[in-house]
Amino acid sequence: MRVTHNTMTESLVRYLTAQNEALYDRQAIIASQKRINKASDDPIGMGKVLDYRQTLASIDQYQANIQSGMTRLDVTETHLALVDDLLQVVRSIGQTEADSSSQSRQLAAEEVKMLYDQILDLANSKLNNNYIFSGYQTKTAPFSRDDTLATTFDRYTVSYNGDAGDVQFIVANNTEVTIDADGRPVFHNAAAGGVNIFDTIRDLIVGLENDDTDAISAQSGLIDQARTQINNIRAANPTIYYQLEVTEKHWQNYTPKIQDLLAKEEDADITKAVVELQSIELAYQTTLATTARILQPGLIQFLK
Amino acid sequence: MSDINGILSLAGQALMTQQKAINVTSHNIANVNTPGYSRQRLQLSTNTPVNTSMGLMGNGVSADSIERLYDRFLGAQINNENQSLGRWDAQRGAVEMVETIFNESDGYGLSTAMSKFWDAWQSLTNNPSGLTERQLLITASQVLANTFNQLDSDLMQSQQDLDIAVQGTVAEINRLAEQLVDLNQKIISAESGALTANDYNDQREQVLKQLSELINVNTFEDANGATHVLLANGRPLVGAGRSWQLSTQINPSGLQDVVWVDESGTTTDISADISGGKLKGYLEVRDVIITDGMNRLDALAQALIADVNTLHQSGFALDGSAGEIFFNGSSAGNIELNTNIAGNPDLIAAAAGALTVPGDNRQAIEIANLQYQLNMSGNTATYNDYYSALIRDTGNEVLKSDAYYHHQADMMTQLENRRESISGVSLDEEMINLIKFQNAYTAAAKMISAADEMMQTILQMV
Repeated sequence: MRVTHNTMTESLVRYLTAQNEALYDRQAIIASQKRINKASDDPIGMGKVLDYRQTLASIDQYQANIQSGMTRLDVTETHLALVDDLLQVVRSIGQTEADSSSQSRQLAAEEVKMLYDQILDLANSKLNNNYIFSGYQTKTAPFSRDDTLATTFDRYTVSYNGDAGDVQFIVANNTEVTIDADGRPVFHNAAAGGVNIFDTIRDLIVGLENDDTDAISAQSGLIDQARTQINNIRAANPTIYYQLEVTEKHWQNYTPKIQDLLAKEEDADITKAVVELQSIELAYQTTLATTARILQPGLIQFLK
Repeated sequence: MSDINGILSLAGQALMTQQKAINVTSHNIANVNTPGYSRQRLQLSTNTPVNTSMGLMGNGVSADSIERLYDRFLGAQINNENQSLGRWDAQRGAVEMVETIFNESDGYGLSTAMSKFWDAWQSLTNNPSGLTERQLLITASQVLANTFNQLDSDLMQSQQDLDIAVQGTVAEINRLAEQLVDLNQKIISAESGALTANDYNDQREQVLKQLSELINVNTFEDANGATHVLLANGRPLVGAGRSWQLSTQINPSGLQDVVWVDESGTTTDISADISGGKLKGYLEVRDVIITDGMNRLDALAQALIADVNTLHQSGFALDGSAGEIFFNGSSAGNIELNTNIAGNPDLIAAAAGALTVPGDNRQAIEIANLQYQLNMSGNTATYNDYYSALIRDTGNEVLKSDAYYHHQADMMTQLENRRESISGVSLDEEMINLIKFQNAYTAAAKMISAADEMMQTILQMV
């Protein structure tokens, strides 16, 4: 083939352009540390990358949801443990006062009233400014008593203001864990065959005030039942807690796997990119040197 | 004729002929870098011999014509391939622009916005009455809607940019067509004396090459030497002594169609007939690829609007009122968070019942779970799958046009190299020719002085 000056210069320009392009690509890979810098770098890979990223974002959210659920269970447990302790105090006061003087019973009545309010406060406890025992009515205190009424009996009778709602936490794709938020099975369960803790303590207070030994003794068994009721709820919660914990563990183990897949899909093999860069650099420099040598001479240089 | 004067005139003619040859050589050297230039050669031949008693006697040299070294078939092939090259060059550039719009690689695209939107609904489920969670959801929804709007307007903008490119290309085609008419006339008048108008032919080839980069054309040369250019379906662009105009005309989608204007000024839409050149690349990306992207984005936005609205409307706001429409609008371009909700976070309907507010999060869970539902592509894909497919297809379009472009560019390189090997000027060759003709010139001059000396010798004899 007849090769002219132009054939040569144009192919040199083409080679240099191609090498510059290759250098630029490697530079982009090394600078971003990513193999996929735009969809066309690997369209299928890009789809996977988007999928993995979304999965990771979802997992973060699931873990936050699970944390919320665990916090709620933790708080519930702490409060109920305290209620149990207070009930024990109430029970021992009742036992002590079963054979005691009227004067002592009056003092004990005041003490039990304080314990009553403490338990009421615990039943009305909040998490994140939401009542935890009032079902869906999280802005309404679940239990209330009216201090303006005439008799001790009426003043220390509480009503339930919440509903039967529960709380659900999304812990995985289309999977929710439900935690009861109804305060009645815990504190106010007479209608369902259980104990109304507040009524029981109220009856004790009234008994103490009225110096009524029978009434005082009668409450002791009911308080035991109330404690069992509370402890049954406390025993059920760990099962849910465990379920949350297992799911969280699952996500904790799953996250690095997805991160690994994402890295494999997206991250650049830097060593490879650097080696490639070096070999392209070498080719580029060689081409430059060759260009300089080829472009110089022509017949003109040799004519005198 | 074999007298001394004969020698003088023969040498004189030789001198002039070599000078012409040097002239042609210097023209070649001067045009070594002129695009489309074909090297020229002076055709030399012996003069008509004279009859003498010894028989025919040579009578020196004369210059017949200046020949242009050119392969007509190669020219046609280059023009043909150049149509494809132009198309893929334009398409590659335009589709890369679209890819940039859909850039998800840095993690700030629609995919991320959707992800944040669903996560915000989930956060709301953890505290359905929380103002912070509600405000977060409002922000995430606004970001999602804005991302849709931005993508849509960016795509529309690039469609308009391509529209301007189409109009510019049409103007360029008209200019080149007029240039061809002009060159045709120059060539016809120059070649009427059976001579070849080499440089004009090169220029015409160059203009044809430029034209074929812009639009697919067929060309033929008539008996007079005029090149005719036909568009698809035989519509003439350049004929004997005249050219036809292309123009643009706005279509129902607000974009410019390419039309051909006949003698009477009637326009015919030829957009669909254009199959090559940059015009095809621009039209393909503008009318097919971007339109498809916008439609798919619209479908995604529509589904999202409808699905979220349906669930949100069957939910209940914090005040127990029924849920309002969550997203206004019906497409990627106009999706917008209901301004009532944006102004009052309490209106987000997280509860499933009017009486179960504020603690009920069941409706929020329903909405958060939408992200896993196969609501797209005939219930086979999630929203995210659907969008990933759009990104993937855009990436594939870039890869495809890039591959075609490189293939076509390689082909052109081969053809250009072959053209160069036939028509290209080699400086070495021209230097050798220069020396050759210069030596011949010197020798012819020597002949004149030899004839002169002979004449002197004779004169001295007297």
